[in-house]
Amino acid sequence: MTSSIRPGPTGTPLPSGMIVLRLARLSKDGLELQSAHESHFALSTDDEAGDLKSLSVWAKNLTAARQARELMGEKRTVYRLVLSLNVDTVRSVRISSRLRSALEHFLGYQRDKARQEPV
Amino acid sequence: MILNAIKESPMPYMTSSGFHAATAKKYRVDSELPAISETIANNTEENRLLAILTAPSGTQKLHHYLEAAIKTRDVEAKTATMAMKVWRVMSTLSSNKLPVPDAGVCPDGQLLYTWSKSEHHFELEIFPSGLGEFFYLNRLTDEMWDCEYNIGDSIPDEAKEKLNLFSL
Repeated sequence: MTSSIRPGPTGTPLPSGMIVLRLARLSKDGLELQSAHESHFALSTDDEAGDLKSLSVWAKNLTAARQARELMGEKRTVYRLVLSLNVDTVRSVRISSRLRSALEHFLGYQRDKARQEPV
Repeated sequence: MILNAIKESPMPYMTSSGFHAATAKKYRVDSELPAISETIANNTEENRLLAILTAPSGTQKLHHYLEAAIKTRDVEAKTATMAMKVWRVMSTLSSNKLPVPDAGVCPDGQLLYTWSKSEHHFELEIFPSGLGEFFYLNRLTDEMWDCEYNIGDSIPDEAKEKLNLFSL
């Protein structure tokens, strides 16, 4: 695949206009609703533990959806859904200070819950 | 013997003429209904009813989804069982007026039930430990509410009030 970008260190900002792919499991009504589900954007414990605390995505110019799926190993059959996200749209998402505050409280709670989970 | 007599006498519908008579009679009855091949292809209303009758109910669909998630090891059986139980409790509380939620699997084996209706969004996240979390968001006003919940306990009153927003 031809691309003007090259793989770089994790966390390197992508240029404007890039599309990133998020592999996801279908929700119960995913096929009928033709829309993403909140669970597709939930951070895993590993995501939470990372420095970036961010979702794992693939830059479409570097990794095609099919390749990304193959890289998921034995779990690849579960990831039937590919969410295509424009980084500019993601960057344009704004939340109110009230919502931000509440979300931080909520995410803190989620982290505490994850720590309580039996290993 | 009577039994033998019956056995020995030719069965009316086995004769050529009798067979045709029976077929003709059957045909007359059947001909009052549309041919089977036409039922599906040409009658939209019947198609709609057929689809309703043969489609799995919302709860069955949820059950199938959870079963599939167990098979792919995305969710533990105990988490799926808790999720099914809590859905039945919520459905009963609402006198079956609460729509079956959409459901998704989170990365660490949690299950997430979601309801959305206009600006209202409601979630129940079910953790493998048996803990739950209710979450409400009004997308217009940013009003948020959340509440811890032990799966199996009675549903908190405020959660019931929020869920009423989604009742059919």
